[in-house]
Order: sequence, then structure tokens, then C-alpha cells
Amino acid sequence: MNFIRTMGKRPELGVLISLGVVWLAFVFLSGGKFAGLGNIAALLAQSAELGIVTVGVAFTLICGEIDLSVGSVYGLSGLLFVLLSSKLGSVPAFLIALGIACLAGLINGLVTVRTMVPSLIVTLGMSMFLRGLIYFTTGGFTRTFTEMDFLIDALGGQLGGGFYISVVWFLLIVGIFTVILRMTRYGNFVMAVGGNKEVAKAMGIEVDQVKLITFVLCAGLAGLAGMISASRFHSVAATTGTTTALEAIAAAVMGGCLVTGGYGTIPGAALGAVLIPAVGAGLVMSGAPAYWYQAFIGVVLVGAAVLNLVVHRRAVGQ
Amino acid sequence: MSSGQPLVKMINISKKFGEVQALKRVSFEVYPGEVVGLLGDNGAGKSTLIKVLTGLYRPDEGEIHFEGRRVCFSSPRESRDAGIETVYQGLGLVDLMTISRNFFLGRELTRKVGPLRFLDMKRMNQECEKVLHQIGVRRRSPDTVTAVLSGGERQSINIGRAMYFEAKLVIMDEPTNALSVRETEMVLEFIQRLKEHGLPVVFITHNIYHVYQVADRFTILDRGEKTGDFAKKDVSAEDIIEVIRLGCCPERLQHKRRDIAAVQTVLA
Repeated sequence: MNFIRTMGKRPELGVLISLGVVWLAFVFLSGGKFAGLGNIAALLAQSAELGIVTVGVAFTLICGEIDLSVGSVYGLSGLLFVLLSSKLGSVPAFLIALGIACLAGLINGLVTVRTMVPSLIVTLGMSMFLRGLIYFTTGGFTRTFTEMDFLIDALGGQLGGGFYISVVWFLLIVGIFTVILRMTRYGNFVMAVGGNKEVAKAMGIEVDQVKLITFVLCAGLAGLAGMISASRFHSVAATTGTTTALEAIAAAVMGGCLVTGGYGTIPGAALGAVLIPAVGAGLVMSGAPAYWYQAFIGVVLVGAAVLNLVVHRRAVGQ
Repeated sequence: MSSGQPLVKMINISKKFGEVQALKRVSFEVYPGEVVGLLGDNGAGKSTLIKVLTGLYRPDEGEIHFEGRRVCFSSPRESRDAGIETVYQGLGLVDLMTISRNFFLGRELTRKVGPLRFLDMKRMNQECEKVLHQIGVRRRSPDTVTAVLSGGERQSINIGRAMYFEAKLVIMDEPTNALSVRETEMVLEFIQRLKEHGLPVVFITHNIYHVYQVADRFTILDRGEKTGDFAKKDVSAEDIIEVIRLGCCPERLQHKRRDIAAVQTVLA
């Protein structure tokens, strides 16, 4: 009971334990290969990109909304970064791509708060629309940077030993957004709006404005992550980001975010974003067919969601 | 009590939702220091009237005066800033947040670090702890999640909040709904305490017996119209029930109506 209470207060504990178990299991199953430095570096690079998206997704979930368009925003901003860099240089390309990502978030938010259509549908539509744009622009092919420069290195370059600089950005963003959620008025509003919209409104909080900001932040982070990914691979495929939205939502939920809103932590969500690539890589290294990855994630996801809810109910004594 | 300026004066308020006339030329006053029971059956327009006052709805017609000035609050935030504190039916707390975060919700204490503003959790917890102590929620720490609190404790927090932020008027929307007998007593006691502090209270309810114990005056609505306004000394609880049940004021109580009497005095 004490353990459950502690877990209720620290939702990142559950995902941390899961991560430990998965880690040990895969180190054992892969005969130690899983714990190799090269593998850890590769895992963290994947986690960083997924994790930055997940931080934004966690904000929308805590705010009581959902954003299914982050994968397409991720793909589109990466693509714009690649295409515009050759024409305008990398800095304007970065700013334009980030701006367009934020614009997508703004549209998601405006349509959601103005029409009262659930964000599930609004962002699903946005996701399909943007993916259509990506296929149209690329003709389904991969696009590659024509020349490298400092910004591309700063976003997705190597640090040495196989580690990428994106891990630093990931940690920085986790830190900043943890502070924003816990220690600022806006963060307080996000939790209140997701926890009980009516009360928040009665307390004078501009609910629609809080939601708008959250959608913009979420899309902006997805755009940034997409550009980091493009910089790391030096290219963007038409299919880049197609699984990202669902993985990010899964990561946030594994990390303790309640899908019903009002509760969750950024470090927890970030750890969820480490867990998912770890499972994928671990299965491959253990010799399991790669197809098992999704099945396994599915089981872990539902398990985590159920566990969260149980722990949460116990912790608040309901 | 009728002497002196009313704190709140709503004049001929009308509000339509589509084809439904939710309020039809309703006037409503609250005087300093009094507890007003706002009564009526479901759909009478009690909550609509209050939502017009607090800025959640805009009236189609009518004027609102607060502290002698004509006002038109366009959001609950504005009415709250002006000193109207509302305690909602659902007890006005976000269950998943802590007591102190709820206490300061929308009015968080912050401290500046360079150009940035951060929540001053330490000071909020200290202030909240002080208030909790004063209002008798002693065994709860400010960082307790409010989901675990009893109905009475939730009320106490709402009332503590009204006192802390020096509200000028407290509106309680069905505060005794879904409360146990003991918790109800606590709420009524708190209304009494607010009154002792000179804080006027508008108490919205269907439960005449609860409101009769604490109110000085009763305003009764029926299907969007005012059917009576009585001082407690002039009517019994049964009289009020009769007005609500009939949907109009019976002949024998007409001369007790303060709103009609006032009109007659003016005419005379």
C-alpha cells in the first residue's frame, strides 16, 4: 500500500522499473550485446527524437487533449528543413519549418476550441492532410541535404563514441518543460484545464487560450524533433514519422500520463520514450523477429495504462 | 436592512437561450452583510441569474450594479477580481491537484528570477497551511491531493479561499447538495461565520430548510420570473415552499413581498 502511494505520487517510478526489467531481460537474452556502448548510443539517439515529441504530447494529454498529427508535423518540418536549406540556407529553413509546425498546431488548437470537435478527430485530419502534402511534394521518395552546415551538425551531429548531440537537446527540453509544467502559472493552468475544465473556467483561467498554447508547443516540439531526425540521417523519407504519433502517445502513457487528462509528468513521459526504442532494439538483438516489436509494445502499453489507473485510484483513495 | 446602498443590484435582467426564456425581467439585490437565499425549482433560472452576475453569460437586457457602479463582467475572472467569489456545486476543486495549488488557482503567487516568473510554491504552501489551520482542516498538509478530502473539507477550502482573498460577496451554488448531515451542518455554520465577518452570501438551493436556518432574505424564482422576495421575519419555511410549489405568490402573502411593497411605496 505504501509502495502504491509512492507510485501514485511519482508516476515515473513505474516506467523506471519497467525500463530496468526490460533492460536486464534484453542484456541477458542478447548475451550482453544489448549493454554495449554502441547500442546505448544508438538507442539514445532514437529516444531523443521520439522523446522530444513525447514531451509535447504529454502536455496535450495533461491538458485533456490529444495530438495525432505530431508524426506528420515531424515528417513535414524535416522535409521543409531539407528542401529549403539548399535554397535559403539552413537558418531561415529551420525558422520557416519551425514556424509551419507551430502554425499546424495553432490550426489544430483553433479548430478544436472553436468548433468543439474533439481534438482526436481534428488532429487525425491534420495528420492525414500533412502526410498527403509530404507524399505530393516528395513523390514518395527520400530527400537529402545537398550540403551540410553548422546548424545541421548542431542539431543532429555526433559527439563521439557513437553518441549524438540530440541527446543533449532532449535532456535540455525535458528539464525546461518539467519546470514549465511544475513551476509556472501556465503549467498550473495546463493541469487544471485537463483535470477539470469547468472549475478552471470558474477560477478565471482562459481555458481556450491555455489549450491553444499547448497545441502550438506540442507541434513546435514535433517540428524540432523532425529536424533533428533529418539532420541525423542527412535526409528525410516520405514515410518519416508515420509511426511517431502513436509511439509518442504510448510513451507518454507508459510514463504515467492519464489519457483522461490532468495528470502526468514530463520525466516519466521522457522515460517512456526511452523504453519504446529499447524494446524494439532489444527484441532484434535477442534474435526475435522484428515483427514482434509492435505486438510487444501493444501489450506493454495496455498493461501500463491499466497499472497507471489502478495505482492512481489507490493513491487518491477512490 | 433595506436602508443603505445595495452591494449588488441587478435590474430587469432578461436572458434567452434560443427559444427558451431563461430569465424574464428579473431584479435582484444583495445588501451588505446579509445572507440571501436564492430559491426555486429546477429550471427556475437561479444558476442562470448567478452566471449573468459573474460574467459567464451576457444578459440580453438589464443592468448590473456592483458597489454602486454599473458593471458588465465579461468573464468570471473579472467578477472574481472585483471580489465576487463563487463556490460551485462540484465544490470548485480540481481533484488531481494539491490543496495549495487549488487554493491559489488562477491567483498563483510567483517570484521573479531574472525576466522569468516562477510559482512560489514555498510561500503558497505556507500561506495555505496557515489558512487550513484557521478554518479547521488541521490534519491535512497543503500538498495533499484534493481527491481524498471529504465534502466538508472541500467546502472549508473554498471558504478559506474567499476569506483569504478578501471577497466582498460569496456565492454558494447548491453547496449542501451531496453532503452528509454533518457536513451540511458544517457548511451552514460556515455561512454563519461568513456573516459574522460581515461578508454577504448568496445561497442558491432547493433545500428550504437548510437556507431558512441561515438566510435573512429569500428571493424566489419560477421559470425565469421572480415570484417573491421576502424578509425572513415575514414568512415561515412553509410559506416559501408554498410559493415555490404554486409557481406564484398566493394572495395572502402578496403584502409581504418586499419587491411589490417597494413599488407601491414609490407609487404612493
